This record gives sequence, C-alpha cells and structure tokens, in this order.
Amino acid sequence: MRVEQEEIFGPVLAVLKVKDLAEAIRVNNDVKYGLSSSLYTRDVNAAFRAMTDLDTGITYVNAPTIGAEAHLPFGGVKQTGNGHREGGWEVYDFYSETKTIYVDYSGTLQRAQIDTEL
Amino acid sequence: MAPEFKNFIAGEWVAPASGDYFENRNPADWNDMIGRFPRSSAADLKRAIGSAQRGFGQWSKTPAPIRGQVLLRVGQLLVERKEDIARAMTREMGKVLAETRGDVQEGIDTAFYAAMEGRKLFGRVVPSELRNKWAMSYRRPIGLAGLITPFNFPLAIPTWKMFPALLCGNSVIFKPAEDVPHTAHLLVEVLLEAGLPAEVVQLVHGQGSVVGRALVEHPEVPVISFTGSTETGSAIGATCGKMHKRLSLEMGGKNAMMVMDDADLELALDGVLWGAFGTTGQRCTATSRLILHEKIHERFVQMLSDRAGKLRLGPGLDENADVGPLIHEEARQKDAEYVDIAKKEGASVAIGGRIPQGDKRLECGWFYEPTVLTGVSRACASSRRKSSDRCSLC
Repeated sequence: MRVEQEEIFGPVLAVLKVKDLAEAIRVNNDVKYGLSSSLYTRDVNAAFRAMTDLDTGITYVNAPTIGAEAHLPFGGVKQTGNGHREGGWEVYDFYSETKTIYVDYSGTLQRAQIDTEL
Repeated sequence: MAPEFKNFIAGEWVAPASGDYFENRNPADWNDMIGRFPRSSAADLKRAIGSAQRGFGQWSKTPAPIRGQVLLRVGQLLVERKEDIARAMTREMGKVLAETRGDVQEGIDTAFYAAMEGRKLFGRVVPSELRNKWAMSYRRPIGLAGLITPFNFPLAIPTWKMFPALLCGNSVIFKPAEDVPHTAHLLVEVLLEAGLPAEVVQLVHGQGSVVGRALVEHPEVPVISFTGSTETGSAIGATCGKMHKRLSLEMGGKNAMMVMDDADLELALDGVLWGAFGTTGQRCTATSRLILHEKIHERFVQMLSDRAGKLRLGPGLDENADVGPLIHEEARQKDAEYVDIAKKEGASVAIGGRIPQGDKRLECGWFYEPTVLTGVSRACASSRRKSSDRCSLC
C-alpha cells in the first residue's frame, strides 16, 4: 500500500502487524528511506540485534523515532541522504577542508617509499 | 498593515531589487498576516555572494577560538530570547509552544557545542616514514556555504548548518523556507548582535525555485547544505555533482516504531503519540509506521485509538493544545488524499482521517485530525511493481 511506503509528512500513522522481530526488521527495511527507527522491547538480545539490523541512520530503543540531540551525528541512509551527517563531530568535517603538510628538515632529498632502510 | 521585512545583504537590511514581496501567514489562522518578505531574485543573490566573499576573507583569518566566542554569545542571546522567538515561531509555523521552545533550545545546544569546538578543531600530527620529517594535517575553511532550510524546524535546522559552517571559518548565505522567514530574520538579528562581522552572513528570502536554484548553480558557492524533499535533493545533487560541489542532503523518511509482545505498552503508547503526532507529524523523523507484534496488535490499537482521540487540536499558542495545524493548505490536502488512497487500498481508519468540524477556533487554520490507519499491508518497495505483484519477502 502506498500509505506504507510513501512519506506523507502529516499526522497519519499506518499500523502493520507482524509475527516476530525478524519480520518487523524486514518490514522496517523494505522502504526506500532510512532515517530513524525505534524498537520497544524488554529483551536485550532483541534490542542489540535490532540496533545492528535496522537499516536506518538512527535507531532508538524504548524511545520514539524523534528526539535527536545536537552533539551526535544526525542523518539517514538510502534515499534519505547522501552519506553526510549533520550534528555531532562529523559536521565539522563537512564544513572544513583537510590540508596535509609535510615538513622535511633533514636537508637532503628523502624519497618516500624508496629510502626505507632501517 | 503587516510589516515589511528585508533581506540582509552586504552588511545592511535591504529591500529586494525587484520590489516584490510574498505574504507570511499564521497556519492556525490564515487571517493573521505576520509580514511581507522579499521575493528575491538572482540580482539580490549576486550582491550577497560578492559580500560573502569579502566576509570570508575576514572571517577565515579569525582564529577558531575567537569564532567560537562569537557563537557562545549567540547561544547566550538565544537563551535570553527563547520565549520571544518560540512565540514568533509558533505563530508562523504552527507547532505548539512546548515544541518551539524545544526548537530554540536545540539552537542553543548547537551554539554551545560549536563554541566548544572552536578550541578543539583538531588537526593531526602523525609519525613520518622518514627521519627528520613531520607529517600532519589541519582543517581550514572552504569558502561560501549555501544553506537551504525547511519549514519544520525554523530555528534548529538553520543552526545545525550555520553554526558549524561559521565555526569552521566559512561565510554563509542563508535561504530559509518561505513558510518561516520571520524566525530566520530573528536568528540573523541574534548573530549580528553577538558580534558576527556583518558580511559573514547573508539572508536572502524567496522561492527555492529562484533563489535556492541560483545559489546551487553559482560557481562561487562551493558548499551546499539542503534539508527537504528527496525529489528536490536529487535535482540539487545532479547540479552539485557536475560542479564538484560539496553537498549535504537530508531528505525524506518513512520511520517505523516496532513494538514487540514483551514491551512496556504504556511506555510505547506515550512514545508513539509523541513520535507520530508531535509537530503534527511534520518531522523528518516522525513515526509514520507502527509495526506491532501480532500478540499485542489488537490491544495496542485500542489503547492508541483511545489516547489519540483525546489529543487536543488547537492553535499552538494555546498552552492547552497538544497538536497544532499543518503548515499550509497543500499539506492538508496531501494528508486527506493519502487517507483516501489508503481506504481504497483496503485500510481502515481507526481514528481521525478528517478535517475537524464544529470547533470555531479551528475553522481558519490548516488543522487535520490525528489519524490511525489499520489493516495496512505491505507493498513492495519498488513502485514499479503492480499492486497485484507479490513481494518475495511477504
């Protein structure tokens, strides 16, 4: 159904029924987007399995899909994003250019990968 | 007469070159006009870019810890103005006051985080393979960053982009969503009062298809950050790819909450009400699918319908309101259309699915009842498939 696949961006919630956690994870992952997911369980094994298998940029355990904090990376996979993150330390990589510098103060030509004697 | 707002270009508040403006109205009461904002053109953007280049020349040479101190003052001013900005934000965007206060708080947190980062914008020194040689890297600013932001977090998302961009020594050109230009205006006022050199930030209001596009296509803007629809993001990505621009995209979601049979159902109920109906479902992380274990499905749907039916719709400035309006008429039409589609495809409306009737407070706003659709079945992810096709995972 389209209501299960397409972003509506309004107060419309689609409810689905599954047999077990494995099916829940498959259903979660079977959309083109991958921003946030949430699992409510008291089973620590189920929680850790879901944390790794849910194909989203963010996963919440025993909390809803919303509630990002400023100091952790924020963003999604698949059609949600292009690999960059906002927030956290990662965004500082996005907005700066890395410059690499070598300073050779030996006074002689040293050839990288060639002058490798002990 | 509603006030007329200006762009901030080249260190001053200026009218758009065209003299054209658009209206900004309260989504909870379309008779309430907040102001008229510049419908800017490529000519305005050109001036902004020339100025931002001068701003970059100055700001990129300012030490990062000093840049951080400016952002610290930004955070402090946002603390002082939290309530005023939250109220202005609710008036133009619609979400309830508790949420717009949270939106400002996110900006405060982001400012203080950026301020700290000013003293630890670390590079690296690593051992060289050769004697008497140092090998290292450091971070340096890139240039002009073009920031295109959405309506749903009028302050927080601009700060997510702007504060790190500034801390890293870039100048910024800010193109906010047309639905929330007033909050953008207030944010730029704060930046200037905090002591940010005037040409480091440029605020250019207007349409994405005009100003946003010109920003993306301009060769002197090497960094673009966009939050919005996947469709627009794809078009931006194509342009930035050809021009070798650095691009950050934050786009659509179809976020699921899963509730297993061993879960604390009361906790999950509080969670889904907040996740699905907070911000009237207009967060990119909003819960739009609820995946229930079959053993608790019936019970949980009943619990959810009972509670969702008690959520109070109302103007966000009313402290008793739980859920505000949608952002505009098209958003409400889209919701109604999707509910119709769901019904045709065999889903049932457990609760909601209507424009509220009979409440005078809601008659002039874009309100829509919190809606729960049950009996939703899985379709294949690929829209190319016909609905009669079976998915291998089903």
